[in-house]
Amino acid sequence: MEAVLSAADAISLERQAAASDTGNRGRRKGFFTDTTLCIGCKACEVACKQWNQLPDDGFLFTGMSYDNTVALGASTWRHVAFIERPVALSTQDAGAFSWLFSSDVCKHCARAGCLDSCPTGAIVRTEFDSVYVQPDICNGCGYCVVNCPFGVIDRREDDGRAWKCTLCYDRLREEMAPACAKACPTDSIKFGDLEELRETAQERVRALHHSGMKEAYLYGADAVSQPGTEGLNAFFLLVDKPEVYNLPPDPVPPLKRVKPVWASFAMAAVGLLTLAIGSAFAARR
Amino acid sequence: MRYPQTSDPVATDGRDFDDRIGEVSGEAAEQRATHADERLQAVAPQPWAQVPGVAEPSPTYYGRPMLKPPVWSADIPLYYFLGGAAGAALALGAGIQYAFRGDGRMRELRRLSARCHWIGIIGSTAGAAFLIHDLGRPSRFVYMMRVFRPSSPMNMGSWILAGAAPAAIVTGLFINRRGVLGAIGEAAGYASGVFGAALAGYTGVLVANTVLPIWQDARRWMPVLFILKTAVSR
Repeated sequence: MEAVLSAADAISLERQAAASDTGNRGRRKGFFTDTTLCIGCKACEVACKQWNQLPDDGFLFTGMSYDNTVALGASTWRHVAFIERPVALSTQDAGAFSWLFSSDVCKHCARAGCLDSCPTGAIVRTEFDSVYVQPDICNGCGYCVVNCPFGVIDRREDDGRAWKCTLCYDRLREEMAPACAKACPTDSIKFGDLEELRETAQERVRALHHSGMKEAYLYGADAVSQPGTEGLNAFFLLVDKPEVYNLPPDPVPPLKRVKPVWASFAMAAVGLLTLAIGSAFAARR
Repeated sequence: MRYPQTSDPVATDGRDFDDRIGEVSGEAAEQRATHADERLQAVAPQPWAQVPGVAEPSPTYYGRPMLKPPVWSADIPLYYFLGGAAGAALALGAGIQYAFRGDGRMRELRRLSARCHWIGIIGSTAGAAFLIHDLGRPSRFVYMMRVFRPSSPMNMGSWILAGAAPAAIVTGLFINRRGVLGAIGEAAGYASGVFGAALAGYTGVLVANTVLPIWQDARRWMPVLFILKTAVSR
């Protein structure tokens, strides 16, 4: 039997096969960024800019080691931090100096401050468990900017909307890994199923501890170690305090602390009405 | 065309992209960008007085902030004042209405309550205009009412404002009429009082529900402070 397939048929068959096999859909996906493997090449930054077609942020010389990107922002969704320390790593042979690199990204928190605070519902949780800003809905109110405990999401002033890492939503839908993970030459950025990533990460910490690097630990790998965010879908292996990498030591989305504020709001509002009625009655007399 | 002629890649919006050989369709394809040197200078770090990093371990990352500053402009404090004054005025208006219900002496306080309703109408509508002006995409202001979302104080506030402003207008128009219209006006008067009290205080929850330490640390007192402020402002 002769089977004649058009190119379109072939592609759709291939996609069906991919979806039924290693489908991304409906699975919790995330990043494990192992900073001990990072060599500071910034391929992730470049790949992200290229794939997502992000505009540049200008070309600055900061003098902050090799970091001329400075921070994550509306059009910077990966940022490699360069930390020059006057202390040696415990596995180092000589020299009281060490250079740390860490590729920072949106953490896609299990409890995301930006998502909870978004008044329009523009920020949603996708089928990959990532946090996604829908650009066709966002009206640029800027509330997510002050609700991100990591300072990730930002509003681009000339665009008017809030932007951040999408976990390459378009690539995931086509069964591809995010651009940064694909481009990483040392596998410092690992992409995959969250459960598997957590196991890999714990094994990696054990191996590092075994080889003598006792300072290695996981940042935000689960809800136990980071109860505020209830775990990060993009977590990290670090070898110094989180502050050194410009990461908060105990991030908590504001929503978790707002209940008593609503209570004092209710009391104050009732107080105001009482004051209004009371002064009106006082005027009656 | 998402952005003007880009056949000269140098003159593009920073994508360094030639649209003769491809089209912009990535996740950030819609992002509008213009080169703004002032903005760059604002974010550019200042030169160091002395080289840090090698003398002692630094607990910060080159002294760079960990959090993003609010992107709000002067529109927002203006709204806090206008919306707060409107809310407190509507509450007082409803208080007068309640205390003098079915009482002929209502006429004595009619001027005060009319003034309350006018402050309510002007404050809530002008305040809303300032809020809309502050949006990155003002034409999408109505998306605030796309969802009902108790987890977002800004969404709750949008609903409160969307209740307070029409209630204030209906009250101002019909409160002193007779018959059905008057009844509608009276009902709207009570409603505007409740919405007004909420309008005066929700902004306190809104600023408390942020990661900015100075606002979050004072969160318990924020609504109280905001309401006290509105009570003083009327």
